[in-house]
Amino acid sequence: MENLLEVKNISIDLKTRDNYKKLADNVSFNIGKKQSFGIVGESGCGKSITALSIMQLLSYPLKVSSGQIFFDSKKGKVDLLSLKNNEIRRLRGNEISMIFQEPMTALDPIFTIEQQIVETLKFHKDLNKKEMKDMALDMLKKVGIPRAEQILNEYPHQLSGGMLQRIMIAIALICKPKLLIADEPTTALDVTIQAQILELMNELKESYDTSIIMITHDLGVIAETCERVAVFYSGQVVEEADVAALFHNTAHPYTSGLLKAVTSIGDKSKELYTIPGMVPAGGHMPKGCRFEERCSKAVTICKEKAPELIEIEEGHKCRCWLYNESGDDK
Amino acid sequence: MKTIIDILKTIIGIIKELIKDPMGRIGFIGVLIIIILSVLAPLIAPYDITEMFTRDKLTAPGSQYLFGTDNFGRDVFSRVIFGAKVSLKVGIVSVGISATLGLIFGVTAGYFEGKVDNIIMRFMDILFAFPSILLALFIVSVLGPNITNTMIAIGIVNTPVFTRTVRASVISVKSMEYITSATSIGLKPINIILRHIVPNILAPFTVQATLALSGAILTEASMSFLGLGIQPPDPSWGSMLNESRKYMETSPWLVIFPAIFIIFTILSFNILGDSLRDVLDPKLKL
Repeated sequence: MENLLEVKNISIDLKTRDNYKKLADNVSFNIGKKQSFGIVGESGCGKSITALSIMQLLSYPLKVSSGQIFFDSKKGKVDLLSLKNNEIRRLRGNEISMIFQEPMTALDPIFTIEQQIVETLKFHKDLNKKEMKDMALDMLKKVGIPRAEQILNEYPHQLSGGMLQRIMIAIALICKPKLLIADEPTTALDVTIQAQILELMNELKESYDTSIIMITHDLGVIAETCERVAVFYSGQVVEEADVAALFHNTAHPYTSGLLKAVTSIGDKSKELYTIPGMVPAGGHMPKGCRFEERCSKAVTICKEKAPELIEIEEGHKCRCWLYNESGDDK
Repeated sequence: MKTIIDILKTIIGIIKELIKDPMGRIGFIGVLIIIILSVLAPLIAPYDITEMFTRDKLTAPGSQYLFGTDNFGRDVFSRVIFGAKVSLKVGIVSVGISATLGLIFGVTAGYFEGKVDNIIMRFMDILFAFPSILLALFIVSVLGPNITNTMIAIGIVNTPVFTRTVRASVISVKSMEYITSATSIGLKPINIILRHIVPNILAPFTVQATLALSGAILTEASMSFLGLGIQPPDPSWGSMLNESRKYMETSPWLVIFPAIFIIFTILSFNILGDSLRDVLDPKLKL
């Protein structure tokens, strides 16, 4: 499959006068055209900032210290990180757009829904007022908003979270972007609405031919929406595989831990499963594998040397000594 | 056109909300009285403010001269009413100056942070370190005492407070998701500032402006009292107090009436500002 986005060895630093942390360390992944790609991991593992870096949305003190992000834009392949401000602005909202976790705060409270949808069009398309309004209305209907005509004149605080998230999706997709980054789009919503939003995103992805990056900590969301998944742990990709392989042929002990921790209704066990221990703090990375302290399968080498991300079978990458021949030798 | 109606609706909504609160009602009515007095001053004042009734010097308040007359035989009531006009003018213009400067500096410092922020804020700290009346007197003595320079001086003195308020609000608004969202749809920084940041900080800004008005009026009165504010023959409450010091014991009305008006004005604006803060605080209601 042709790649739409190639993230190559991205490292993101947090650098202040008395603080230095590497929040993302040599992250690489590729996203194909019309593919939905999941990024899963716990809080603070670097998944959101990696996604933000794609659109150059990181602000001080976060900074991409190395790496490249290639994007197949309308004007050919470009390195997003080396684009000038006005060049990246032309891509934002037009070819790459983003939806956020908190629909309640992601819309400006003082503008009507129409004003906020039209804002994107104003900056990217050359349309008159009537055309923009029609497009906005059309888009609202597409994302399944009832009484769209009326909603256009309402303010964000008059609408529910689910509605607002639909509107965010409408804003994000109105310019028909090639890539949609969804940063935990369903976390703030309740479960029934979650399912509706995910279904809507799946539908729109088909009709708009958009690739999606779905950032989440919910493996259920991944299973429902993604074709390919990267598991993040402590700023690194620890496993990357097609969704079926990840669930049925889990390689990394962290991923299996995550899968075990998923609860299901009817589960009679007294205690819920947790992975013991804590994520290593950003400033004090262990010399060896970052998951070693919490890993039940750890061996001596895990403490001494950090494993590389290697391909263990076709299209399935894992960062673990268990699958590394050279590791077995020692 | 539609936006103008929207803005008017918002303002009416805020006023309605304001007069629901008893304190807000007091403040609002007080300020309204001051405004009406100063706008209609030429109609209300029974005498010319410079006209001297030499035969009626230092007459006590009565039916002919409502608030009595001063040592030149000028009508105190007329002068106090025109004093309201001067005070309000000085207050509004100087707050206008400091609000504009504060908005520009505060937004710049808050939005860009880093070095720009440091330079602006340290400069403001220096301005802040001076006692405000001293700084205002210094500026006026450099520029020369007249009404324009008084307004400029008070405007400069109040700028740091505005800059700080605005900067703090900008920093908190900037971290909201809708700002990131606005960036993510491709808006330029200038558009983000004008469309999304400035309208969202208007609430604390308005409150600050109302409170600063009373401060500015008080500073003007103090400066005029010290003789470096409004110059005669323009009436100012501060200079009226100064002129009447000598006659305080024999003709107390010369002190009492300007003082009452100063207190009334300051109190009205402060009460209005306080309740305005309560009304606007959670979120600008639309």
